[in-house]
Amino acid sequence: MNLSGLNFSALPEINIIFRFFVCAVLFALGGAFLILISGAEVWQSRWHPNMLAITHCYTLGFITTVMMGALLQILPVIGGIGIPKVKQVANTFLIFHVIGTFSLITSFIWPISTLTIAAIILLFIGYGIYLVALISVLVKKLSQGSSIITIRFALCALLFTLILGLLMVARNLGWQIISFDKYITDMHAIWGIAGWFSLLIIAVSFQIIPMFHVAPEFNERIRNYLPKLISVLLLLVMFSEGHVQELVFLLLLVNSLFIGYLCYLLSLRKRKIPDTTVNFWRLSAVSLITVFILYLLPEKLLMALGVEQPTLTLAAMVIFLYVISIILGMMLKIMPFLSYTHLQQRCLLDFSLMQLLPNMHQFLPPKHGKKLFYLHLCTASVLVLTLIFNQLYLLLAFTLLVEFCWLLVLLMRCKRLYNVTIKNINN
Amino acid sequence: MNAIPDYMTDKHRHCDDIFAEAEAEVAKENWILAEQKWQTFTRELELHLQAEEQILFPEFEQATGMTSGPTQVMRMEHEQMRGLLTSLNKSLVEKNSEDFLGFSETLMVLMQQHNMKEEMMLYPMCQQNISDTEQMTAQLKQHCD
Repeated sequence: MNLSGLNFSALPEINIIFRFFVCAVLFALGGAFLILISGAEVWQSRWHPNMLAITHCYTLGFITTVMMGALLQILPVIGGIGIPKVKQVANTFLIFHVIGTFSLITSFIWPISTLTIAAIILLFIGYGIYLVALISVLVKKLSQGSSIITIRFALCALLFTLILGLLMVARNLGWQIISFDKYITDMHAIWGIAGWFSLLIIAVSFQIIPMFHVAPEFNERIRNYLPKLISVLLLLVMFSEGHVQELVFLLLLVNSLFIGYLCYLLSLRKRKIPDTTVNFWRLSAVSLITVFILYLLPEKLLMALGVEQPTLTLAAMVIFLYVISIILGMMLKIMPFLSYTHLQQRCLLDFSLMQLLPNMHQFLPPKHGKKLFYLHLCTASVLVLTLIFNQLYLLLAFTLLVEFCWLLVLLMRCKRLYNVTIKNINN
Repeated sequence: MNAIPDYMTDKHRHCDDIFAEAEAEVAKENWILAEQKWQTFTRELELHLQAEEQILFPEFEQATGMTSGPTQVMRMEHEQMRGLLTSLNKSLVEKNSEDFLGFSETLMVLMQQHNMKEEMMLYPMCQQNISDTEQMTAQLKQHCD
């Protein structure tokens, strides 16, 4: 074991993480604005340029930005080592990622080659820098926990999703590097959702479910084999063009079993105090299992239920109700915890200053977190209705705006209290 | 259970369990039971921290020559936890469940992050570098139990 490589205090500056989170929320608000101006017809096709833009506001803009920011915090804790020159890497990545994602989203709506080229170059450089920095840490012999191994799989999935995405965008410029059809787009989406998003959620869950809720540890076999099983299924998707539906069925089944098992563990948690994060986990579980059931239904029956675009409907439910629910729940924990931890570092030389520190509930009062949950529940319900009754899109845009504005308020409130406390400590 | 990581991890879980029980009683405003559980928790936690600071860490530092590395950070985190315990004790005396739950959330997350570093990195390193681990575990047990 490399003792010299250990760095227990390699936490990145709090401003960096907040910057990631604020940018993520701005992309989510941008998505709401796009829904507002796009009209009802975008809900008729997943290929509509505005729908592609909206999808990327939430997948690349919101989810990936939060995940990339959170990784900066997670790695030093569970791997015992942080990214070298974390400030430079994080800031450079964020600038390239934000401008690149913005260019990509606008290039879907206005297919101007300058925007497309900018998106390809900026995303390529930004992710290149971040991933090289991450990989340089992850190839080292860190604690070989299941979380670190799963994070490695998740990052491979992110890399593959990005490469496919960039190659598809390059097609718009006439650079036909690989053949393109619906299968490649599906592979991009499947690797993004079941690979990057789901595997990272699984990796983090292995740590935070026992940690935050004093729940039993995940079964060792699940920790060892589940990420490998998902990775194998994803590899099979690459080479089984005729069997994508069966493989998606298996991926949904495995992920549904995982989230069901996670909720079972939560039910056994010893920490029986009201906790909104648990509600977010439950919502995500119910949503994914519902998606799995809907996936099993014949298309005719779905049509009869009013679901005219099954793929769009199921993908939207997985992204918004499964992934984003979990992310919001985690943010409720991460924001106050980060604020507290970073303030504590300032008190290491004089413990009497700790009296000045607010507690976690002062950074983010439980009732504010609860309000976020209800707003999310409301948005999620309106989303499902909009997928059936497209003309409800204005209401969806409104609920999204309210929900993510509230999240922004919570972020700002937390940061403001952090700044006030820092001032008090320095005085 | 003769390996250092196994024994010390088990002690972490034990402390977590009593902590959760005390917190649940405060949430129900069952102050007498909360007080009892809380006293048990603080006693168990202090014994665990002492075992690390007085027995395990010095042996690790001697074996590796690392005196200002991870053990130093762990010692600082112990002090942070002790600081929080003072605030929690005050809330308990004042029977202020809102304050208590705010501080207990803070302590819980701090404690879990701290435990994770110890369980994933420091204890395996102790097991690897300390020559007589069985003897060390016996000493730790003697102090804590």
